[in-house]
Amino acid sequence: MADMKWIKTGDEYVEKKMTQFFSEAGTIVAAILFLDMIIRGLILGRPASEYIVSAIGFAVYAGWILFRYLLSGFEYPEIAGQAAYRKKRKEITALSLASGIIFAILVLIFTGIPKHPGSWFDFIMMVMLFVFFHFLINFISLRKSFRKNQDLLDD
Amino acid sequence: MVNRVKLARVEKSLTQAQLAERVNVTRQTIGLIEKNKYNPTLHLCLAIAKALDKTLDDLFWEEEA
Repeated sequence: MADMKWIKTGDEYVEKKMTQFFSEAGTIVAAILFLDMIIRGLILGRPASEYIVSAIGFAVYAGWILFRYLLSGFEYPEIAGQAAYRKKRKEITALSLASGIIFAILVLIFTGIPKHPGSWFDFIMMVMLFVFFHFLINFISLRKSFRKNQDLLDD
Repeated sequence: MVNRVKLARVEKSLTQAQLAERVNVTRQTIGLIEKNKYNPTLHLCLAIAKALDKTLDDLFWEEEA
């Protein structure tokens, strides 16, 4: 009988396999939600209320992985010293600003140049928020990596 | 990677089930390790080596070419 023995086996092979099955299940569910979003939203053109739950589900799946990844501290495994950390921080700042410019250009292409002061304000706020979150995400990851490496690396 | 877990186990007159119980895994996992179908953690390798009175080299080091 397929009972839940594996929960208390302590067998590393079983644990490893079960972890794999859990992650496969998550990926399959996320793929189904994503397909539902594409089919109802893009192909059938149904109202958003029909597929919003799928979108939230998929966002939780993707967001959770991103969140765990950022906090894991393994994105920058080589950053240990103050000098390397400062250099990397400058790099991610520059990268965020460059991404902001690309984002701004893309927004202008898709929505057109703003016509009155109100929409200019919205546009500038949107770009600033994009740069802020882009930088914040990378900065948290860098900070976590830096802290972790201080304990682990011997130089 | 070839390993000599099965050889060492038979030398010590242990069954898969007995070895499995000593290192606290299932018999199936021992079978998988013996057939090179599962790559055990260092932790489990050490437990097996101790249970069989062997070193890691005896059990897992590759043969000289």
